[in-house]
Amino acid sequence: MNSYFSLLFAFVFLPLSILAYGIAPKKARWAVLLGASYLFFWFLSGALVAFVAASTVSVYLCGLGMARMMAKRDELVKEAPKEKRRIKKECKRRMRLVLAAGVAVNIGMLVALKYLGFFSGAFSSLLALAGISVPTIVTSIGVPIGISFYTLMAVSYLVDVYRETVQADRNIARIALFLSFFPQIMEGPICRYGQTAQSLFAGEPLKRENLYAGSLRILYGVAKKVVVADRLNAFIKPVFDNYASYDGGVIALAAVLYTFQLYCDFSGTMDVAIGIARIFNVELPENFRQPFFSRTASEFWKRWHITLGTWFKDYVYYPVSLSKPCKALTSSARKKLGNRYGPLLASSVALLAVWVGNGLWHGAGSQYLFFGLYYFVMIMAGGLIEPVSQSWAAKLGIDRNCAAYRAFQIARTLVVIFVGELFFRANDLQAGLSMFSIMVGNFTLDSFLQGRIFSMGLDLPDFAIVVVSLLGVLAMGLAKERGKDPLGSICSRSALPRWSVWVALALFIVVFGAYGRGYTPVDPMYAQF
Amino acid sequence: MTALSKERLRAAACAAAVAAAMAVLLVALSTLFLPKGGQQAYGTMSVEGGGVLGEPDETVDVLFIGDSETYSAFSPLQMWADHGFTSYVCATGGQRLPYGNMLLHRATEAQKPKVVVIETNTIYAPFSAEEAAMRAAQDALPVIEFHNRWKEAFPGPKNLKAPEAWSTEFKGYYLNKDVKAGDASRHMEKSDRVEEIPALNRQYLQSMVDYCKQIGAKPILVSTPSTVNWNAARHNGIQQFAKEAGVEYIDLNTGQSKIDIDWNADTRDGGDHLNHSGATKVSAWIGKRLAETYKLPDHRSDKNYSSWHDALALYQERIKE
Repeated sequence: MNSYFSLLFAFVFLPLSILAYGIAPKKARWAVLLGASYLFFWFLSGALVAFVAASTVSVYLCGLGMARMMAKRDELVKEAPKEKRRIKKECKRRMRLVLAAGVAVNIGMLVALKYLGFFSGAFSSLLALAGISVPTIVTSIGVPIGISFYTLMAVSYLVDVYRETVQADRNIARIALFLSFFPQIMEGPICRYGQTAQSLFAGEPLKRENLYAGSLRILYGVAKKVVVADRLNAFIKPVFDNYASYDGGVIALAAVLYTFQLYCDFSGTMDVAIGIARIFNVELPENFRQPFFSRTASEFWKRWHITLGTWFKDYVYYPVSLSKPCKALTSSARKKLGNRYGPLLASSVALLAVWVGNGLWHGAGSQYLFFGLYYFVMIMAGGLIEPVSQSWAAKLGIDRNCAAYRAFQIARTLVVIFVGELFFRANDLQAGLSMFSIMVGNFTLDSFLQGRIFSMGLDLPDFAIVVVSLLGVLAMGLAKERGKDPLGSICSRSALPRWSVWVALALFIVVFGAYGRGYTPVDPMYAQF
Repeated sequence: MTALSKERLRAAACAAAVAAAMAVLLVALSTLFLPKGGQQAYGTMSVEGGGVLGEPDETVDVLFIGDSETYSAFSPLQMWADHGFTSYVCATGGQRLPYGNMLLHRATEAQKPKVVVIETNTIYAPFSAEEAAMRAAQDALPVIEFHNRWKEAFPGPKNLKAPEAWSTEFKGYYLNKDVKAGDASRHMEKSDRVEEIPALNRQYLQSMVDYCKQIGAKPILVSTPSTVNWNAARHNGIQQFAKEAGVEYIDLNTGQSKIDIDWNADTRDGGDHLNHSGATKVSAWIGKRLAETYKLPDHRSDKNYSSWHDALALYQERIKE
């Protein structure tokens, strides 16, 4: 068992987990979920499960520590109301130390396991420029599954306790389940404690409507992953691995298809995660909201990997932009550059921190750092150009809300996304730059016109099923954009149409899935981050 | 009956109806997707190994089951030329026992072999319970294995109905004359170590052996010469199993059955697989042994087997090229 898409998971682990949950008494259901979660983690990462346990203990202790300080503070304030301000300040200072310790432990584990080689290599290269030779540190422990996800959840819990938006939990089992819940451990969504901890622990009974709705959502996700994403890999992998052998047209197509592959893979896995959680009566937050309908790069990141974007907004962007140095910079820039560009410059500092963090979060590689900086530049450029764009549109009499202009904006944003994903998927930054150079400098449609495109891993029927499937996903997206919920409306139908859709979707996967002979199984892509 | 139990009954009936509908549709799709046409009832999941399904009923005397070591070492047409019995190599690259087991069962639906040779390298090839389960699912519902045949109906449903005529020219043998010398200096160094057969592999092997006995075929375990894949510990492991299961074991790497392989000339990839020169030596030895020990029939003068003469002529032509 290596993912939600393995047979052992689908036909043994998940059914047994549901069965055990269903027959367990209400008070013990959380234990079933916790046991299943740790077992799943063990299957995927073996003894590295100790790290998620360590995170849990650290978060629990720090949370309790801060809770005790707050209780003490409240007592002292009661006793000496006049000293309220000093007491609170002192308490905040102490809590900050505990918070810093908790964050350091968790981020420290993440850095040590995932980034040490990268940072140490970069440091060695830097010193080598000065003629100093320092060996690169390489850790051989391995990286626990989902560490990038559960670490952010652990940090969010600590910060929320510090901010007093949630109360520190005195039940370590609840924190353990919050951090390790198996449907979300591989790729998120990155939940907040306040969103899921209580429902995970509530032990609500299984409900028929949840079983149906959850399983339908799972099937929809599996279809996206197995029919589209896994199939596209046969074309994308060879092109990205041997890009020098292909012309610019093929590389452009690979960048476009990779974007759809990543979407179908990641959003498909999210559908599976949300569907499984739904079966257990747990509502996980949505991670995608029709991202390809975005009109700007900034909007794209509000619709793509939403929980990561909001995490960076709440725990990086706001703290940085509201910090004293940043506030000082804002007021100084406002005086010199005016009310429009002054705050923009100041906010760019916080934005830079967000995008460097976002890039590096995806992986320890120069291409990921570049990817983050690319979006920083695009979003900043968008902010700078916007007034000019507004003024030109007014002068030319263009209605910026008309369908044609919106289509232009969406197309423009898609180009930005495709280029970004080209660098994101490239094997390293050098490869990304070379591919971009070939795409622009040697763009030709010869491979398409001469039909060679159909002998590069995908044949005509493969492309046809990808197009048909993507049209289906697009139709679902369009309906959602219009405020409809296609899957939800199926759930509310009578038994015959409802189950007919379920069976049809299952058979669609069986027949058109890219599995078995001739296909290489692809692990969920975001699980590596 | 209370409202709650009525509700539960309805839910159970609904689940049963959905499961039944799924099962019926999967069976129907399996029938549609299964390659059609006489003997090829189960189609070409792999041309090299599955070609035996194209042989006329009850015409194959010996089956060879295994991985690439097998199709590189046994030449049925050479054995035909020398002794007149018929054989087929049901081997596929990197074959795992569940797949070999499936080939054995499918081949013996139309054939009644007198001997089944299981090459031992495949016995140690690792596979997971999940892979075994997938194999079982594919055997039960062939649409899972042949689902990609929807492409053959693209853009119109023509090929799904067409019979698939196919056969391998050399009865599953892979003719390769490349030479890349191997280092045999430490090959089969003496050792008392016993490499245990993994539990799941052992279970499959035992069931294959039992099945052979059940259909009246003699199962034999044979280790073909390989400096890369075979060693004394594995020899000991297979010998132990053979003793316990009451099966004949022939190791062509060591002892009295050792074949005089020239590792500078008889291997195509540094001792991993034999080339045609090595296969000629193995086929000569094993052909004689099988013909004499199991009294295999000589069909060379039987008109019903004339196609084997044609295949042999082509084979000899190719060897000369």
